[in-house]
Parts: sequence; C-alpha cells; structure tokens
Amino acid sequence: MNEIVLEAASLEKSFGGRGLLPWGKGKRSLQAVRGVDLQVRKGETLGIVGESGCGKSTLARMLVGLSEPTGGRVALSGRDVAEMRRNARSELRRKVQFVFQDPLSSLNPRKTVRQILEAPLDNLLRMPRDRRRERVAELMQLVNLRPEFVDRHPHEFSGGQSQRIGIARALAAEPKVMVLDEPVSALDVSVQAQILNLLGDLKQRLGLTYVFISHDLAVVEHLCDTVAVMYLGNVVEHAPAEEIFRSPRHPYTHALLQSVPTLGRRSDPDALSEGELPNPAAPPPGCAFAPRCPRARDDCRQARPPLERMADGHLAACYYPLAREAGKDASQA
Amino acid sequence: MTAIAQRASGRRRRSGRPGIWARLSRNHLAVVGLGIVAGMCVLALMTPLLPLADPNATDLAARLKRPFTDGHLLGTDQLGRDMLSRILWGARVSIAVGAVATIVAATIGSLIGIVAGFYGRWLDNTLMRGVDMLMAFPYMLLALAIVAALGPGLLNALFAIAIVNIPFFARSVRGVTISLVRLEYVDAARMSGLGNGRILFSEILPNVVPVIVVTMSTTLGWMILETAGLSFLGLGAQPPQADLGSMLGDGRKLAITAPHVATIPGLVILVLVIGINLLGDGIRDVLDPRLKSGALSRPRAMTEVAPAAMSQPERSAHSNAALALDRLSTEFRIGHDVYHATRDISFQVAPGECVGIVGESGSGKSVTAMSVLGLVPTPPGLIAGGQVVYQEENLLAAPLPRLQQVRGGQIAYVFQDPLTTLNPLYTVGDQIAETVERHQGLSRRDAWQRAVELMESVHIPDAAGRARAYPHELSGGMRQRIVIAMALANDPDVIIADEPTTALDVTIQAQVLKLLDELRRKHNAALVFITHDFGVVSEICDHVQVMYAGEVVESGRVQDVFERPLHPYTRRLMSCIPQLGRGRNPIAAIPGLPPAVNDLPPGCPFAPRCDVATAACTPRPISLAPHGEGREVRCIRPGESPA
Repeated sequence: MNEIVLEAASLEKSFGGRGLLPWGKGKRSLQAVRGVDLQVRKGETLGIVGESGCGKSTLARMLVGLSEPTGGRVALSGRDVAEMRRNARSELRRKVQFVFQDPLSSLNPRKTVRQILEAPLDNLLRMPRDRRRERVAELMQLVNLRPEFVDRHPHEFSGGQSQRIGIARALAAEPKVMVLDEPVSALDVSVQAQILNLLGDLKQRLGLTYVFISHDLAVVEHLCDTVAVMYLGNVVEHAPAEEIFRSPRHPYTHALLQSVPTLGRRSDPDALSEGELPNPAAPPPGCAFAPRCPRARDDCRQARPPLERMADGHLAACYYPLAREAGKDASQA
Repeated sequence: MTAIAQRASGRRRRSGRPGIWARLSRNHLAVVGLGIVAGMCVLALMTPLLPLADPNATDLAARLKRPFTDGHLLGTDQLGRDMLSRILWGARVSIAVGAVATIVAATIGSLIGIVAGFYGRWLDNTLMRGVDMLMAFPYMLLALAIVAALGPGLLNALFAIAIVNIPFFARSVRGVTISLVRLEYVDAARMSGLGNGRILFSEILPNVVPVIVVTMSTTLGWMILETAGLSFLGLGAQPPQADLGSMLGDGRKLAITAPHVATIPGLVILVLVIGINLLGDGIRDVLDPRLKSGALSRPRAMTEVAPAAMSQPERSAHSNAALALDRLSTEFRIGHDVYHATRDISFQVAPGECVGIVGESGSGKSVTAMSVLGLVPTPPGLIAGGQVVYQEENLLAAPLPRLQQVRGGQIAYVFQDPLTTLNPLYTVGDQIAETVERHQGLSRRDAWQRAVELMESVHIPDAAGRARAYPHELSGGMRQRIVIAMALANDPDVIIADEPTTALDVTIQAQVLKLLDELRRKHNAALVFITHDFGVVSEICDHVQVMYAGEVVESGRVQDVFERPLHPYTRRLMSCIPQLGRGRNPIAAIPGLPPAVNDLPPGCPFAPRCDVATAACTPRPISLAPHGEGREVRCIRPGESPA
C-alpha cells in the first residue's frame, strides 16, 4: 500500500460566534466541519461526496491551507499544513494545488491566460522569463488548449475552456496533490466528459493524487478509488468506491444512491423519510441523519455514532448499518 | 477543435455589442455634457494665450459697465476689471481646484476603502469608523472648520474639500472590494503564491478602477460647487485672484444696481456643473456592469411578436392536445447580430402527459418555454414565427389582458430557483392566497383556506403553521413545493416546469419529482418538463424532445429514444454521461463545442462534431422527418454508428 500523502485528523471548522464586543461573544457559531479524519494515499483519487451544506467545500479549503481549521490538523507528507502556511507557504503551494468550482470567477477578467499561468511559475518556482514562456506553452498543450489562445482574456473562453485554464494553473506549480472542488458541476454534460477524461489522463501521466469533491455520485463513481460520504460536517461512510457503490452500509449513502435519477431506473424517494435537513447551527444531539432516517431508533437520537470499521477498509458511522450487499440489486438493476 | 476555432474567430470578428464610445454617444445628454465640459476645458487651457485684458487691472473710471459695451464684452465689475477675462481666469481656477481635489479625495479615499475591504476585521472597523466620523459632521461645517484651522486660501480650501469627500470614495470602493475579495480568483492568486500586497494591487485594484472613475465623474461637479461655496464665503480664493465663487460673492452686494456682476459667474457655474453631471451620468451608464448587461432596461410586459406568428390555427388540427407548439421560432436581436435561439419547434402535450425538453445550456429549451406565454424579454427578444395553440387559439396573437389571464391561471410556470420566484417580504401563505384571489375572486379568508389546502396537497407538514413562514425560513425543497402549490392554485391545464429540481439536492430532487408526477396524474394536467439531465427525463417524462443549437434534433417516447437513440447527438450525449452503477467505465466525450446561434452553419449544426457526418450534411438545412412509430429525427443518417 502506498504512503499517506495527505491526512486530516479530527479536523474542525466553525464560523462566527466571535464578536468584537464582549456581549457578542455568546453568539452561537456554525460548525461546518465537525471532526473529520481522512487519509489520502499517494496516487489514489479520494472522492468526497455530500449534499449542499455538508461542509465538503470548507473541508477542501482547509486541506490546501486556504482556510485555517479551528480544531484538529492537516498534514501533508507528515508536515503540519498550518505550520507550513506560516513558515513555508510557497513550499505548501508547490505541493498541493486547488481547482475551483466556477471556471469563470476563478479567472481574473483583466488578465491574459499567459499572466494567469505565469503567476505560479514566477512566484512559486522562481522560473526565469524565457523558461516561463516555454512552460506556459507546454501547459497549454497539456490541457489541450490551442497555443494562440495564450494572449486572450478569460471572457473569450467557454466554461470548459476556462476550466482547462484553471487546471493548467494548478498544474503549473507541479504539485503532488490536487484538490478539486466540484470542477465539472458548472459544465454541460458533453464538456464535463471532456474535462473528466482530461483529469483521468493527467493523473496517469503526471502521477498525481486527487481529492475530488462533488455532489454528483455518478461522476465520483467514474473517477474515484475511495469515497468519503459527508453529512452535516461529518464523514458518515468511507470505503473503496466499488464497495460503497455496490453495498453502502450507512442509510444516508443508500438514500443518496437511491435518489439519483438514472436512465432506465426509477429512483426511490422512500429511501428517506419526509424529515428535513437539520439546522447546521443547532444540530440534533445524536446522529445528524436520524430525523430523516427510516431505520433510526431511540439511541440514534441520543449519541452520535462513531465511525466504525464494518469490513476491510470500510468505515461507517451507524448503529444499525445496512447488511452487506443490500444495495446490490437496486444499484445494478 | 475546428468548432472552437470557428467560434473563437467568430467572436474575434465583432462582438455585436457596441463599444464604450458607441454606448456613450447614444446618450444624447451625455454628449451635450461632454461638449460643455470639453469647451470649458479648452477655454480654460487657452486663457493665457487669448488676447484678454489683465483680469486684475483695475480701472475705476470704467466701473460697472454693462455687458456688450466697447472693449468689455461682458462688462466690468465694481473695480472696473474686465468681466470676460475674470470669468475665464476664474473658471480656470475653479476647474483646476475641483479636479485636483477630486484626484486627492479619490486617491486617499480609494486607498482607505480598498485596504479596509481587503483586510477586513479590526483594520476595516478602525478605518471605516474614522470615515463615519468624517461623515457625521455636516460637510460645509467640516470644510469651514478645516479652513478656519488652516487659514483661508485656495490651497487650504482644496484640502478641506478633498477631506470632506474622502468618505464617498472610501465607502463605495470598500463595498466593491469586499465583493471582489470573495471571488475565487483572489483565492486562485493566493494558490499561485501571490502575497497580500500583490493581490491588492494586481488582482483587486484593476477591477475597482471603474468604480473609482464613476465616483470621480459624479463628484467632480459637486467639488466645483463646494470650492465656489467656500470662495463665496471669502475662505477660498483671496483678492485679487479671480475665482467663480468669489466673483459671485463680490457681485452679491451689487445685485440690484449691477445684476450682471453676480449673474454671469452664477450662470457659468450652473452650465459647468450641469455639463459635468450629464457627462458623469453618461460615464456611469457605460462603466457600471449592471447597466452594461442591460439588466436595468425594463422589458415590455409581453414579448414582441412578428406578424408571421399572428395567424389563427386551423380548427381541430390539435384537437386532443392541451397545448401545441407549431414551428415556433424565437430570436434575439443584439446590436447587429441575430441570435436564433429556437427554430421551428413543434410538439404537443396531451392532458396528463409529460413531455421533456432536454438539451445543454444554450440549446434553446428555456426560450421555448418562455415563448409560450410571451415571457421572453423584449428587447431584445422577438417571436419570429409559428403558433402556440391553446384551446384552438394562437396565444402569440392574443392581447396582453388575455395572456395575463392565462398566465398563472390555466398555464402555470415553475422556475428553477424558488428563492427568486418568491417575494421575500410576504409570507408564503399570502403569496399563494394572492394568486387564488386574483384568478378566482375568492374572499381573503377563503383564499387563505385554499392556500393551506394547496400546501397540504404538496405534502408540506404543518401547512397551517408553515403558511405564516417567510420564504427564507423554509428549506430549498420546501420553497419549491410552495412554488408548485402556487402553480396548482388555479387548477391549470398545463404546467411548464423549467429545471425545477436543478437547484435542489438529489435526495430532495427525488421527492419533488415524485410529487410532480403524482400531481399531474391527479389533476390530469399536461406537464412540460425542461431539464439538462437525462436521468430526470427518464424518471418522469413520457415523451422527450432533444434540443441542440435551437432545434429539436430528435423526439419520441422516452424509452424508445434512450434505448435506441437515432440522432448521433443523442447517442453520443448519452454515452458521455457517467451512469451510476457502471463503475469506472470509460466515457466518450464529444469533441468541440456547440455552435454560436448567431453564426450557424447552413446545414446540420452538429455536423462539425459528428462521427457519421458526410458531405451531404452541411450544404442545406435538414428537416425533422418521421422515423418509425411516433418518432422524428433531424438527421440524414439516423441510427447509424461510425464504422
């Protein structure tokens, strides 16, 4: 098994609750990420799946050091990311890079593609000017963009082309790990397929490790080796992709899989009870999914179930997990 | 890649949208303002070169001469100085002081605003509370206090005015900076290794400049007035220096005996400031991104319809359809370009049936839906041809009152984002009740009762209580249920749902789809369902229309189309969607991009990306032809795969 390159340990992030004045201090904070443990091994693609508000984007920003955790730590090849962020920022940026969700708003409208791609070469790699020119041309080729596009501005590109520029910018720093936050969700299906194939191809050619954040289960199944499912700031299930899609153990994962409309299969909205997503500022004391869970019992509402080992490499946080292979018929029919 | 090149070269050619200068010149008042300002500036610059009398040379023998006397075109003042010369020298001083004060205020104010907005937290608090303190004083009093402290004089007046105006720049620049800091490209710059200082000056500042320019153009006139005001009070320009404000002040005492001494500088100030303000408004209109997008231009209450689309349908042509579209074409005219958003859309939907319209963004599916009830904004939209037949009537030919009766009544819409569809200021119960009241003439109390019933029918738990909730108090799924309840309020014959579940999470989407399916069966309503998601189509629809570049390329029963797609676009689109349960199967992407609809090829628009295209595909349009039972396809090689 390969070494662990990126690791999160009891990672937490809360927003708000910190007023400037003494009487503002009592405000309740919103816990976006509530104690997440993750390990990403070299060369693998970890998918992080969840619905809006589950904390997956906040988690992604902490993994690359764009935002500081309020608890726990992120380690990159064993080194603390918070520490690197303070003392070795450019080394951190060289090792782990980020691809943003919105391809247009992640490109400065007043810069040319060349300026955008040269920034990391200049600031992170201290590359001399003539070498930068060559490298920009290589990067354009790597993401299948025509070399003459290099002096244009972002508004002249379509969404898919803009996302290629975003990927090229991340690759410019020659990172080992790429964290991709919903990189294809703003794109049309035919363009999405082009970008997914490009990402798969790049990973193989450059030996990259991906953390792929998405709400689209089919895309995650297509691309990822292992998958972590998040619900309200927690990882509720973590397993190899094949395993999680064939036989989910957590009722939420099962409900998620059953809800995806798929050609030739009717989805099953009854995998969920009619309950509502709890308010993240005031989560219920027990399992956060209990109010919507058809299997929930009293003890689920009292204490939060820990992430436990269900089978080899398969973790789930549930007191009453689904039996193994239970989801098989539904997902293959 | 050829398609990309074509598209890119098409964009390079001309954008169709007029440039900055063209847009400014379309605003006639701004052109007048520009003329005044330019004329004044030229005169002010040329003043030292003109053959004018010395503005400060007194000649008591020739005092208070009326205008148009020999040698003094505008007369003389109480010391016999030539008014024309003093006006020109004075305007020179006023414009210069106003402009310099604007630049000083803009520089300092923008710096404060950009730093406060970028760093936030305590620095923002400290800086902005300081700015608030400046604003807490009446501005003239503050200027007076500053001049009083520094002593009278033009330079001190300039400082006073600049300081007084710093808050305007600081506030507007801070506001824009805060919205820019949250954009992803600032984070992207961080990931590229840029430090805070570089991000501030190379990423944020260039995007703030338009706001600074707009604020400068709108405050310049104000600054000139304030300079004149201070000089009028004797705190600005000191005698004998001419300045428009001090001339006005001098002339005030002579208002009865020699009105021209005060009137002429007053008029000059008036014309100059009006000119600057008109120009400033014009510049703001050109540079403000919201105005640029045309978002503030008010569309008409219904889409403009070309005479070709006004004909009445033949009787019984669509006898069993709840709604029928016949060769509907809608276009957008922007600048010199015509965007053919939809062309020749024909389909019908029977009571209780669901027809899906599926396609990628820009394929024209939403425009089709909006055209049905004339909801496409005009300008720039125009329904160029075709018919929308509802109860043997062409709705395109219907007058506005008739359309308004049908809208929300017999034909109802459900849009993508429930938060923008619902009014945040009213409770959801009020909003449903209002729809019921307007169309059914029920009393307030009965309408409210009906609203609660409708909310129960879309499975909202505790409907009576939730009816008193405001939209922001409900979750996305609940809000979309409210919108669906509103659509059902008047027992519609047709429901048009435009991406109703796209903004929802999958688990919520499944529930909303189930609800829509149940309701159309229960109410026997025809459902037109627009989506980009094939999975959703197969979930809920009976028939499907696949759209590409404004045309229907294929239609038929959902099962038939998905089991055996006939058009190469459908076939390839389906094979490039990752399907749940298929593991890591490779997906075959379609190369290239859809064509721009203002620059369509003569033949099949998919041909450049197609793997079975031949030379016969490109020269002329291909028509939608029947192919087997209940199916139509717009392709000369239907169902073929590459060898």
